[in-house]
Amino acid sequence: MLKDVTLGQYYPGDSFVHRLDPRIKIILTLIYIILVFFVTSYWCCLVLALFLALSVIMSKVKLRFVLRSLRPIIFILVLTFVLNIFFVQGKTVLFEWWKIRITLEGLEQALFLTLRLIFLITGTTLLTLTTSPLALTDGLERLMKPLKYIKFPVHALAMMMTIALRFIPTLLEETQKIMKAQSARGADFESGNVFRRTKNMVPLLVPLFISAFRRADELALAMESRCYQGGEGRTRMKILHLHISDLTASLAVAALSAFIILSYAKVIPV
Amino acid sequence: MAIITEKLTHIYQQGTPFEAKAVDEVSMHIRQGEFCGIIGHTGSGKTTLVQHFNGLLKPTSGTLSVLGIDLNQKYDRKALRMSVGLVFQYPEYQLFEETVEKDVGFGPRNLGLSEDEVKDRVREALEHVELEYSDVADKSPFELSGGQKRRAAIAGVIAMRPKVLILDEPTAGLDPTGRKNILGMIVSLKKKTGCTIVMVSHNMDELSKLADTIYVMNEGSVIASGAPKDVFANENELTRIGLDVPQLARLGSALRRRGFFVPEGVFTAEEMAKHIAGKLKGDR
Repeated sequence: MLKDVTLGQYYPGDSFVHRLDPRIKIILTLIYIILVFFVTSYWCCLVLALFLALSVIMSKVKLRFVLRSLRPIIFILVLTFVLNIFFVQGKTVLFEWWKIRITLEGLEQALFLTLRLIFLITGTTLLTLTTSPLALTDGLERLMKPLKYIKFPVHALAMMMTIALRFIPTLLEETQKIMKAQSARGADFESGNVFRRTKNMVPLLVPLFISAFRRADELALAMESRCYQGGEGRTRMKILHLHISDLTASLAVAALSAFIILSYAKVIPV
Repeated sequence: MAIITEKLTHIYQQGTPFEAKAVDEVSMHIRQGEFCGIIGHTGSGKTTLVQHFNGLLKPTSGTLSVLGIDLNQKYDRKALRMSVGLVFQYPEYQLFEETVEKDVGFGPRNLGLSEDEVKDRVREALEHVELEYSDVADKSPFELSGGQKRRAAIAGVIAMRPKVLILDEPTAGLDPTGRKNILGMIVSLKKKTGCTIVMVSHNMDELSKLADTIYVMNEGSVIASGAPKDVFANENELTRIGLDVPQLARLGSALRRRGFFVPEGVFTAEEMAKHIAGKLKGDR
C-alpha cells in the first residue's frame, strides 16, 4: 500500500543528468514544459521524443521507472484521447456511423493532446528522478532569491520544504512500523467498507500524530540549541557552481526551443 | 518445535537500486518453552527476522514454520497472530486508546472475544506486567510514566495469550530499575504460562543471564549459536564484529588467564561472587 507513494522518488545515480546543477535543471524543465505546448506537428513530436529519449538514456535511469509515472494518469490519458476523437469535429471524415463521426482533425488533436500529457509527465518525472529532494529545494531557494525583495520568506519556505521532504521517509517508516505493530495485535487495515476502514485507521493515526508532534518539538529544540535563527547571514556548506555540462545542456535545450518555436511560427516548413 | 526456519532469506525492495539483503539464509530451531535470545548490533537483521515469525513479512526464499503452521503455504493469519505475540521496539509509541483498559483490550477484542472474556484477559495481562488494575485501568495511557507505558504496551500483547512471545529490545531506553522490572516480568511470565520467549537484544549481560539458547547475528546471517556459555566463550569472534561479551564472562576469562580458576558460564554477579569467595576460602 505504502509502496505506491512516489513522493521523493529520487533514483540515485551518477550520470550526466544527475550531475547537472539543480538550478539549471529546474529552469530547463520549465522551458521544456512550455515547449510541450508548442508541439503541433509530427516533426516536432518526433524531435521532442528523441530529445526526451536521449535525456533518459543519459540519465541511466531504468526506463521502467520513468514509465511508472504514467501509471496513475492512464485513465486521464485514455479519457483525453477518446473525448477528443469523438468531440473534435473537422472536415475530413474518416468514419461515420449513426451519430458517431470521426474526423482526421479530431484524431490528430486527440493524438497530440495525449502525447503532450505523456511528454509533460515523463519529462518532469525525469527531473525528480535525477535530483535529490535536497538538491531540488536548494535550487528552488536560489531561484526564488529575488523574491526576498518583496518580503517573501524564501529561506523559511525552503527550510520548511527541506524539513518536510526529510521527514516523509521517516513518517512513512513510522507508519509502516505502527501498522505492523497494530496488525500484530489483530488490527485490520485492509478489509471492510469505507466507514469501517476509516474507523480502523484510528489505532494508526493517533500514535502517528503523537509521534509527529513529538518529532517536531524535538527538532525545533535541536535547531534552536544549535543557534538556528533563520536565513539571515547564513552561509552554505555546498555552494552550487555551474560547469561545462550545464552549458551543454542549456545549449541543447536552446536548440530544441529554437526548432520548436520556429516550426510553430511556420518559419521552418515542417 | 515452536519455530523452525531453513535458509530463510529476506531482501527489501528487490529489483530496485534500494535493494538490500536484510536476512541471509538463516536456519533456526526454537523449541517449545525455550527462552531464545537473538543478539546482534543495529542493522544486523534481527528485527526483520522476527517479523517473519508472525507473518508480518514473507520470506523472499527459504522455509519457515511456526507452531506447526507452514508459513510458505496458505494459512490462517488471525490464528497465527493469536498464538504468536510480537512486542515491537519502543512499544509505548503504539498506545492510542483513551484508557489503558481499552488499549490492552484492543488485541483480544480484535480476536472477537466476548466483553467478559476481554475484561478477564486485561486484568490478567496487567497483573503479569505488575500494573495495578484499579490504579491504571481508567487512566489515559499517556498519563503513565515511561516504564509504566512500556509495561502497559507489553500487556496489550500478553492479553492475546500468545504461545510464543517475541520481544524486540524490550528494555531499550529504560533506566536500570525499569530494565530490571521488565526482565523480571518476562521471567515470571514464562514461569507462569510456560510460553516460548524470543528476545532480541544487543545487551549481552541481559541475555546471558536469561536465555537458554543464543543466536548471534551479523550482517543478516547467524554466525554463532548455542548455550550462552559456549557462545560467549568465543570472545575474539564477538569482539571482531563489534559485540561485547558479558562483563562477567570477561571477568571469568581474565581470572582464568591469570591462573585463578572459576567455571565458565557464570553470568550472574551473585554466583560469580560465591565462586570467587569459595575459591579464596579454599586457598587459605
